Amino acid sequence: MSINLNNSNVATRENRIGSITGYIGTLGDLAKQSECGTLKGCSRCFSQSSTCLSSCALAQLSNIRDVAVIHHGPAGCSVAGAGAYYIDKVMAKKRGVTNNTVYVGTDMNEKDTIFGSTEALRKIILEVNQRYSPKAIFVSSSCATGIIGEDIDSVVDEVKEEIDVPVVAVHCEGFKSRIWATGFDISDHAVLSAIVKPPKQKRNTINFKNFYESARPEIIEIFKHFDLEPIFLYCNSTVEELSHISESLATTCICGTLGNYLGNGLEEKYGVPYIRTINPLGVAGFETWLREIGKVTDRSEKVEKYIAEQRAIYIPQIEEIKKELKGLRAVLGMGPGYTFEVSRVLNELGIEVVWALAWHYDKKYENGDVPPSMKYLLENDVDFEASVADQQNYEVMNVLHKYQPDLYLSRHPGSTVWAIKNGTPAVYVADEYMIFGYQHTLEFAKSILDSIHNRSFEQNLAKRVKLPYTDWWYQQNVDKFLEEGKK
Amino acid sequence: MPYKIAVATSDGVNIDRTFGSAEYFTIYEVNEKNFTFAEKRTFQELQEISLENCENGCNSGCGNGCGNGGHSGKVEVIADCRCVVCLKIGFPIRKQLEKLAISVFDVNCSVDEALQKITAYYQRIDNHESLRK
Amino acid sequence: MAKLLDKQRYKCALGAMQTVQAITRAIPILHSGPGCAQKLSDSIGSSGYFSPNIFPCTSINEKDVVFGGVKKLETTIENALKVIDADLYVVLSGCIPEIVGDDTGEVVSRFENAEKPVIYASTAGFKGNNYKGHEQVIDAIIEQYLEYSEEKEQGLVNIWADVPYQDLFWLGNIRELEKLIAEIGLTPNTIFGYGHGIENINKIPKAQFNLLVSPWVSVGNMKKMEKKLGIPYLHYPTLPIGAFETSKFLRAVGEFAGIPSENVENVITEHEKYYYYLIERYADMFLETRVMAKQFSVVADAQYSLGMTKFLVNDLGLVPAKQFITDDTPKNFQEQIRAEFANLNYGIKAEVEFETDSYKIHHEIESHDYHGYPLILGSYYEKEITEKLFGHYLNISWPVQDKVVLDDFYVGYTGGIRLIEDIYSVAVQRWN
Repeated sequence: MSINLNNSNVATRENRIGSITGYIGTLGDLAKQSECGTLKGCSRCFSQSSTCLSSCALAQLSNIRDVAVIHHGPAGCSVAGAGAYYIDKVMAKKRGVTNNTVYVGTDMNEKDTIFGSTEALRKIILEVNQRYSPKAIFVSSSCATGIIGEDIDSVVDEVKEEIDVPVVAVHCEGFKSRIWATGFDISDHAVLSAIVKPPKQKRNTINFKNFYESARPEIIEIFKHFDLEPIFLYCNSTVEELSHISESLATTCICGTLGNYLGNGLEEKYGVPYIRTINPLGVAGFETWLREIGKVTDRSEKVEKYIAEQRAIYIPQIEEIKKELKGLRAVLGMGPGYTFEVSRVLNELGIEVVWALAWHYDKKYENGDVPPSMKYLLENDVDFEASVADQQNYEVMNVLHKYQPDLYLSRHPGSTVWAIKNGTPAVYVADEYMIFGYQHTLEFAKSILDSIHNRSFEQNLAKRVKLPYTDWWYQQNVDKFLEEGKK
Repeated sequence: MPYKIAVATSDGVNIDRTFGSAEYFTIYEVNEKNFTFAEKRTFQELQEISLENCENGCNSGCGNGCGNGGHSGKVEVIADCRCVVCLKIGFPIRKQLEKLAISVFDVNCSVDEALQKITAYYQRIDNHESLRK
Repeated sequence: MAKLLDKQRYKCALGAMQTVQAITRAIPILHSGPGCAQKLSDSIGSSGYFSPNIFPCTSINEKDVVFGGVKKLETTIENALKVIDADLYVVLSGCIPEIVGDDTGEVVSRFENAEKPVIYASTAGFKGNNYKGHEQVIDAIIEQYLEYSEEKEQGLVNIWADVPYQDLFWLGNIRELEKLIAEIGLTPNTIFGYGHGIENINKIPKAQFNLLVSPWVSVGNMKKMEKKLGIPYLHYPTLPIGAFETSKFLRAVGEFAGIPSENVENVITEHEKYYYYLIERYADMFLETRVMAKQFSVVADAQYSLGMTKFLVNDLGLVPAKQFITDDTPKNFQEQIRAEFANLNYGIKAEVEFETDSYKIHHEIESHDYHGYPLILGSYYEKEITEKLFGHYLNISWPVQDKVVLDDFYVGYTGGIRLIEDIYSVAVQRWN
């Protein structure tokens, strides 16, 4: 579908690309229905709290250096500013740069919800601009401002005349989507529509969408072999850097959910090819990804040479450790950008995936294809039980209780502890580069071994805690509360 | 700006049809907050949707949100509407509708109640008014 | 009126879900958007029996906005009662239902005869910050759950202090307050933390009196209990940190409870002896540390700003520069709190500012002459500016990134010693 950059509203992901947050069945079934477009989303009559799309959107934008994020809403909405302040400071320090980004709130009160507060917002935008001279200003709405009909677009249009840096309205009414990853699209939309400029010259750069650039130094080294220079987005990006990303040779990302919108947008609007392979996690992922970059940038020979050299170093070591991992059974719960990718890597390492929970599932990406990670699993005959569960802890616990796997893998804060309480060792795949390339795939395999080798911590804890669910719940089927689509 | 609402109802009183099972849609025209019955719209290709296609994964009788683009004709019939009101709807159709900027309200209530609430909502949203009651 | 909230130090009223979380086996049920709980939780120290991802939530969407969310709320409560093993279910409503007019109270009243108590508090984000939300939850317990009790237990004291989780040291502080109260012969009752839950809530109406240790939070709750449950209260506005204030605190409580002063004095004497044994041994460090100026600023909520200022002045002999209170203290309490800051040893009066705009706070800190390297006790936001001034910084107020606290505390005699340890652990890292 085409991306409309003239509108500040991004259609929510569930409507736009047909994401779902409720499904239980097998992977093969999920994919088959996904391919023929027959999959239905289901809603729950009982749910637990998950994530707000504004968290994803504004965390991304506030990672950009020296900008201002103004979150128009009650103090609870802008509370993310505290976390953003910390992340910005420590990430900049690690990289050896400074970041003076500010993330402020407007502390809306009851009176504002009755009489409106657009005039106050206008003054706040001007004041922030005066205090910090940011390189761009993002003005976000919230549930409360959406409900009371605050016209933030008009306020932004008005102040644009007084401020000489980009001022962008960002629509983050959390109630509009249950799929928090829509927030990533919202942030990409803001960057594409207000920061990125048309290309003036082509450069030897690759746009690399990621979260916190932990593998930055090594990826720079890898890309030197191909005479390419990665530009990492958006953590520590500058507005100036972002304005030039239309000049890159290609766009790639560490997580499809994160980078999909930007990749497609740059391709559609400026002809920058978007690398749509499985992610560079595990051996097959890394090689497939590198080869595609080689193809798109016309550097296949250099890429093959690099792969051959690295294989000689790492493949024997990975083969060796696979012997020890054989026979392990795993359950995993992650965003869709990771669940099916990590499932593939586990399969590669000889670990059996008994259940995979994706927090939501993009039936089709922006370009209409089935997600590559899913396609790969199907082509390679890997099948297992899968559910789409939107961080529903009670479902995860039910699955863990029934399957008693050797390990649980997750990458969202607050999720691993529940596996441990169940006595299941947990591996927190927090860093997006934890399974990147040959080296990190090997490290990942080793840390799995370490995690299951010493089970003292989880055993000690599991023995002493009571789980928060009733016996009744553990006796139910995991799809008890799905209103449609029961098998 | 006047707009239209498509409603999936068999008796004109209650929202009693899923998107898939609706034989026709009742179209209402809305001018500010006044809505009036305009017409019934049926579609011809309903019969063409094979049962087999529906069973291929739906499994729940929730009103076949299935069909590989098979409903596009049905969607086209209401393409000029601002939103569609039905009992339930599948995601692929929701997606097709969304491409045309048509909102979906899958609710179980009377036609009158649905129209009252939806028109009041749009009236306020369009005028940047609060939804406070 | 909406205002510029620059580097914010509090959450919204729905943050009171953490107050519920602090009561053992009590669970909040949120009638809110899907992500409110995650936003309002702190990422460390939240994985207890219930954690935010366990909290049932109606996850309001656009359809609920147009057609109302009461039905969804009802099924959510109904199923929460089945799935979650809790003693008390507290429904908290967020912004959307409060604006569009969902009658949360009516839905909750349908559960009057449920096996477990279900109560509700109106905690829409725009109704105030999480200090106010905390009061709303306590009010809900008083209004909807507690009943007047004819039977009173002599010496039973309900202790109330500041807001759990917002206060980094909430658990340790309340346990230490209990310990001190018990030492002078009273029986403490608190509803927060390990082993404290519905049983303790049930005991509230039998108490001889309520003891509130906070500059302003929960004063309204005390009045409500006085009226409905007939429980008088002692409001002690200063968090007692260190010997000077703690001894004063024990005397005040003893007098209010009618305990013979001799008993109280015996307890005080024992504590002060040990306290000054420690101080004597480390007095050289206080006097001969080259790197710390005599002047300090605290940037915190009213509780810590006042408590620490009194400690640093009355116990350690430091001199207050400007102090900042960042909790959006209601106007009607401000004068009273100002008066406390003016009541320090040797007639010292600390200038205090009620300010939520950190830009202004930082500007004032930067332009003040501390006569050397200042001591700044504050939130994580003060780290960078203190470094800029070559000062000493300790993270004692929210947001916290520089310290992990499991059950450490600053209250009482022992708490004062802990605070000294923390301050000088920072100071000794530099020679000059």
